[in-house]
Amino acid sequence: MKKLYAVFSLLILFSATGHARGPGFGVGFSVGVDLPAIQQDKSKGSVFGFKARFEIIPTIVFEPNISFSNYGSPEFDEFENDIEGSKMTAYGLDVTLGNSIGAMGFKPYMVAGIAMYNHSNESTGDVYDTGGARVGWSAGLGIGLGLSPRFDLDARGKINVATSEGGGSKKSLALTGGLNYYFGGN
Amino acid sequence: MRKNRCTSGILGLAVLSLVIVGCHLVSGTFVIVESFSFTTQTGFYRYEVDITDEEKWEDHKDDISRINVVGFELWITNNESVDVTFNAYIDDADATFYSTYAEVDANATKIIDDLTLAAGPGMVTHITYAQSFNYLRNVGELKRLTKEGRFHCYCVSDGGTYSAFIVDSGKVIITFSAGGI
Repeated sequence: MKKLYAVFSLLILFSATGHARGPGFGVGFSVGVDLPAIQQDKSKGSVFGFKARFEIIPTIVFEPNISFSNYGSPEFDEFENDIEGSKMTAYGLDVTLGNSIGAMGFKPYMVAGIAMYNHSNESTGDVYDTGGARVGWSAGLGIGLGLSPRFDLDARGKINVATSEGGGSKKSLALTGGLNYYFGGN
Repeated sequence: MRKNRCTSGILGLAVLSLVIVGCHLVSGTFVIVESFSFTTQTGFYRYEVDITDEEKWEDHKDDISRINVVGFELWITNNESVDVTFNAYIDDADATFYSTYAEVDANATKIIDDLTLAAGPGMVTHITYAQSFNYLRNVGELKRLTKEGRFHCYCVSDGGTYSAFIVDSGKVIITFSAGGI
């Protein structure tokens, strides 16, 4: 496993620093699946999101972002679960190491961030409050594919860990794919 | 450039460490279901909800951070000739097990208030889990008692002769969060 991480880190370093074009700005959107982890009250759902991308330091890209997850409502053998699935809105700031703006070809990268996560459920929300927006963090891996200096395809897997009121956390794995567009440059 | 690559490598390893740590977190959200039927069926029903022997509860009882949701399912048959109103109460498991409606009304906390159940031959009302949230009140106390793992539940029906009104069975569905991180 350590060798795998080392190889991935080297790939990021060589791919990113070899093609970076300097400061840049872009926007992107992504769609995918959101897989709750150890959350028996949720099942697999969908996620979509929007982000801006700012590369101020070579290879390091800042991404203010917002995403919307719609989870499914799981089935239980013991009772008829007829409530709506939960929703989660997350807004925060990610930082990618690699996936430089405007670079061509494959660009593996790492991503980490902090965000506010707001869980809600329409079926129970009038009776039980969900604790409001809670701070959390995320981390993951991805790969970009620079199609041109202005367009990237972007695929990433990211673990989201949102703190819960009273302790504990809600975790999920978001697997997304998307498209980024960059302004200015070449 | 070399310094830049070194900094990036260190940052990358830090991010990966976070991912690895995240994979080993054990906190989560769990769902417990307790099925029950009442001991008496003459307009006054009582039951002790006890989930302390449930495996999920035993596994996490020391680090329960929050009771997220408590709901229920009920199957009720009203063969009376008139509609029946139905109320439910809860009380601490260590409190006296009341035997009369007057005691319950004076001391317990009402969580279902005047639910009207239609009458008719073979008239069965099924209150689903989602529908139960339309009738619940005083959920703060319900959550507090649920966190104890045990509480007394009383149900009282009013109307008709009581002989043809039956709470057939019910389920309490509890969602809670547990874990330190």
